[in-house]
Amino acid sequence: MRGKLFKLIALLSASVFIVSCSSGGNNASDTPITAVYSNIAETATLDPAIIFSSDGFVFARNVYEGLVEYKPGTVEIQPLLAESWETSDDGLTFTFNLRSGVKFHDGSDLTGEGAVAALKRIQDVNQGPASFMANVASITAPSENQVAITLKNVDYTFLGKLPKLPIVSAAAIEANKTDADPLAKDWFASNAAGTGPYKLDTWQRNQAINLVAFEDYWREFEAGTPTAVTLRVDPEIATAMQLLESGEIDFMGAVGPDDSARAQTMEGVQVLESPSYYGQVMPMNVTRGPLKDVRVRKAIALAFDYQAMVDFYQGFAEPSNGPLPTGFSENIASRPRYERNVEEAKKLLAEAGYAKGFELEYIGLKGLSYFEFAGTLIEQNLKELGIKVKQTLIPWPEMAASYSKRDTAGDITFLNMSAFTNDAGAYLGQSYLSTNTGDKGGYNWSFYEDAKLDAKINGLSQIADEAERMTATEAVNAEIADLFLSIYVTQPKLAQPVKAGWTGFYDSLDANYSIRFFYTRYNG
Amino acid sequence: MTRTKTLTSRNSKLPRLRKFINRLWWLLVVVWTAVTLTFVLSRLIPADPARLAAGLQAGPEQVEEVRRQLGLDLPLNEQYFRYLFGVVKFDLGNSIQTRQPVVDDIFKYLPATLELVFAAFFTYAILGIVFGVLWARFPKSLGAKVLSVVTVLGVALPVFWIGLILQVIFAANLKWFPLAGNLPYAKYQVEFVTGMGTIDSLLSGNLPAFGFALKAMVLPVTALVISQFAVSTRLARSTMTDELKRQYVTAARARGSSEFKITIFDALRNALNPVITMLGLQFGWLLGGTILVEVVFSWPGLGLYAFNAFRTFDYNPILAITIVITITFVIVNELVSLLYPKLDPRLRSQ
Repeated sequence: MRGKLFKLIALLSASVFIVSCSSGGNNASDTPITAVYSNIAETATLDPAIIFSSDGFVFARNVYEGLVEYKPGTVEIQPLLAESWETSDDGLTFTFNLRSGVKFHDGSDLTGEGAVAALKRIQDVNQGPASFMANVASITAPSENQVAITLKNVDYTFLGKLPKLPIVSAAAIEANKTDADPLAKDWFASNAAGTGPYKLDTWQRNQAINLVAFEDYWREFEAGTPTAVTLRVDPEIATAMQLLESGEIDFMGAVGPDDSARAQTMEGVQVLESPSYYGQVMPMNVTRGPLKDVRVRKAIALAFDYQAMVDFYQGFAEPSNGPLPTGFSENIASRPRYERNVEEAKKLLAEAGYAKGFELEYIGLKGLSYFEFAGTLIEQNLKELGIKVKQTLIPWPEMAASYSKRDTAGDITFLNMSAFTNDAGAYLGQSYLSTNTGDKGGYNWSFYEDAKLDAKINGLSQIADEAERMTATEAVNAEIADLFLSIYVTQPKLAQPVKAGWTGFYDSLDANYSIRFFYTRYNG
Repeated sequence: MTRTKTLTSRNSKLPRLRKFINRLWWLLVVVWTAVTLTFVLSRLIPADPARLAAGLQAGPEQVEEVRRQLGLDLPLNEQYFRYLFGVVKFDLGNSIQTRQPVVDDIFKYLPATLELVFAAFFTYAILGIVFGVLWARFPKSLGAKVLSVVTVLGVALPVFWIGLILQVIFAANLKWFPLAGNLPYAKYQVEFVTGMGTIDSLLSGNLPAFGFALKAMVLPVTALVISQFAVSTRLARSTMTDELKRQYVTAARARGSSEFKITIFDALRNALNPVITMLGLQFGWLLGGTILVEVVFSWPGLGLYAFNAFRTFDYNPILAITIVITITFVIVNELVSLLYPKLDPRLRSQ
């Protein structure tokens, strides 16, 4: 018995000693580089035809590629699997010339027919990314190395949607489909076959997805490019911050501007800034009560303390100036910022016949500091106008459900609005089209409906000339701003804490927290 | 003679069998009640899992398609009976998020949680009883005063906070233990067999992996032990203090029995029943209570699975986790009730 006990102690001691000796960092300049990325949640599926949240984008964008992509840190389109493309005279058909010599992770080659099968699969699965294909009439392969997409209606912004449509291996669909599952959804849920720079190595669920460099990738890995990527899950942001400070992780996802300020003070950590295409808004429900009156909505917007909200973010946000984020054009950026003017607000409220005030309900997300801060701020600000605000903080599933019906929606709420493509019109459409009201499944949570405004927003994508389109977009932006459908709270900076020594960009058009590691470099 | 003996034996087994069937029946009733209540509550909460599953940009048609695929378009009573029949067939449905069978997920994540729960349970059970006895035996010592403070802190401090403090001191600053996560199977090339890092690394004969798995467990287990240790220690001390005042203890002392023998073999045995009952209840609590610890330590167990299910309002995992915790709770308490007569001879005749 004593002998066994001694052996057990010896075994434990030896193992602890070996672990102590073997642990250590990676990333020496002459050794393989592993980029460790930590996020608060793990993707539920690896299927790129279903993935549609930042948890999944970071996987999909590194393992799969589209016909074109956004140049890192910009909203410019550049070739990817398609080397070049032509647009038909009527603007309806895009013909893409595929790059030769591109292989999928399963060893199959990229072909026109294969790309057609992959794009049709996205349509047939009909989830998240399929929303970018609603205007697609047909997909064909005119030749072995070409794929042609024909649209139902002219859309000169269509190219910007293609980076969101990942091409999977047609051979993998064929090999893994069954009678009950003709789209091989079960297989793609936990396996991958893309053309991206990284291929799936292992997935230890709820812990980490390990990716390794694809040995047959069509581009060279330059010095400093990660040769492996670990996408780990740390649901508690405080834990992830400590891991970053101790050098165990390199990148973080889902960090809000309030946490970025804290990260800036940490040793060995830098805050990586990327162009931001998102804004924080507080939609006002125009379907009932005093909020039907634009003067009341303007009064509320004028009473809001924008600077207090900016101060809350400690330098990681700036005051907003309208519905569109300022990155879309210089003219949009030069619009005057919103400022507080309580006297003017009181005057407007009196004009509208509400000098004595009224009651409103603010519905915010429970557990997120800035949602709660914004609620408290508006409660205090509107008290000066005699408006009593009742705060209701609920989890996201309840919040989404409450805004899916007009009678359960609150009077004011808070939303982070992100651009998903470089199309400013699409960004406006998310929040202001009649077809996107909350009860129709969209994020028009002010429930504003105007057929004329719909026509203007929908017409933007049909303007061929880019400069002309932007001028029209700026006009629509100004028109919406004058309706005061929302309080345009702030425009947060996209600033993510990253281990010192790394360079790169977060993709703001992929819900902000995704990063393409092939474009990052480690010089530590 | 032989026939009489057989009949007697059969007669004595009959009440036991009846008792067993009775208990099994009650177990089923408890589980059915828990399933029904959770099912009803999950449907009453104003949330739309189909919309969450369909994704941020999904249009109304896509949301309806997902709702149909998930069977959420069916009348509520049909959903309920379908689910109940599924449970009988050991089919707990698919996760709305992962689309994987929930039973598979439970088997995948439960072992990692059990690894923490067993380690924490046995540690605080033993420590709780030992320190409780010492506290009762030496109530005016310095150790008793220290225990008094420590147990108050253990009860007062949230386990979440304890976990973060342990991380700051022992992982971030002293670097004695990993900050978060359990055994990285791929890095150590360990085959996933049981889902318990320590066991799998031993089965692979991988000593460095075993060492890492042990080190990774230390902080989450310590957080759980600190939060639970106070209850068992205070209860053990209280029941022991009562027992040590009883007449049979005075009589034993008068007979010249040693203090060690009186404490361990006489008083402790009688004092254990309430402590064992509490430990049984705590074990059931631990399965659900690890959620916060698993979140803080990024521990890939049932707690983290539950956390994600709650976050995304994934019905089926929530229901399945409720069933697992309920069954464990009932079974552990049944086992505890079987232990009572072993510890206290007075209960054997009842």
